[in-house]
Amino acid sequence: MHLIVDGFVSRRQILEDEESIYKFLDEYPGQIGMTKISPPQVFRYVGTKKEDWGVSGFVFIAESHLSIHTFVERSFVNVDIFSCKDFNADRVIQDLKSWLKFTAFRSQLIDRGWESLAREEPAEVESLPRSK
Amino acid sequence: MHLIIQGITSDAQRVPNLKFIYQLLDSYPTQIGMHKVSSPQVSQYQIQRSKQSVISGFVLLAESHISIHFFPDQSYLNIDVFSCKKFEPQRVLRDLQRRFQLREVKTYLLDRPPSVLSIPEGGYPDAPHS
Repeated sequence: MHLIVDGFVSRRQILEDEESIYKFLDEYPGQIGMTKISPPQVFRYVGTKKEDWGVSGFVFIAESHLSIHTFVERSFVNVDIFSCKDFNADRVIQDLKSWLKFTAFRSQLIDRGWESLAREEPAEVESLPRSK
Repeated sequence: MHLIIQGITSDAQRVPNLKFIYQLLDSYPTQIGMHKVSSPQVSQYQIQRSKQSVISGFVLLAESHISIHFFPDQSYLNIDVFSCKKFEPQRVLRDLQRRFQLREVKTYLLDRPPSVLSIPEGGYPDAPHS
């Protein structure tokens, strides 16, 4: 199960705050029944254009990962919560909403378990399906 | 743009090797014009509940990240190539299919730039309107 949440936030200062992003990656897995297998890694980066900067971080959890990428000048954030163990996606969305105060966001949920390979026809290389 | 590749590897020799996954995460980003902001992190661990072994690798890019999770018991690979810049998903899929000798491949291509969302009325909060 892979929950993807992309959104604009009203609390831009969170997006540049490495400490609060580290804290989220460090503490949130435990709150939703996931097991961290390493400490989070969080970096501030500057892209090829000066206004392309933000904070990126990830943490391994048993079977997958959580990651966050922020784009401070655009007040935009990408969040991935990816686990082979089921979790309550609605609750995670609510938690992200109350932490980040989205002004607009989109969420997507994707089945990533190996059993899912058998459920659908494998995709053709030349026609990558787009998620709805 | 976020490309998700799931598949079974036929390469039982190289893929279960941490070094192979590390080297791929270390060298591949520049081959597709992406920029690493950290060295890759690759770990092998066992899930307590199921006793299943997993190898996980991750590299952060200025553009976002590439991650690989490998489940040796099922020869199953879960790969994410995620960049806020456009790249050629067909090429990446071909490259990774070849390097990991993947079969039973299933892919998703997700649009993840800010343009997918409606811009809030009055522009982005505390940011230029353009």
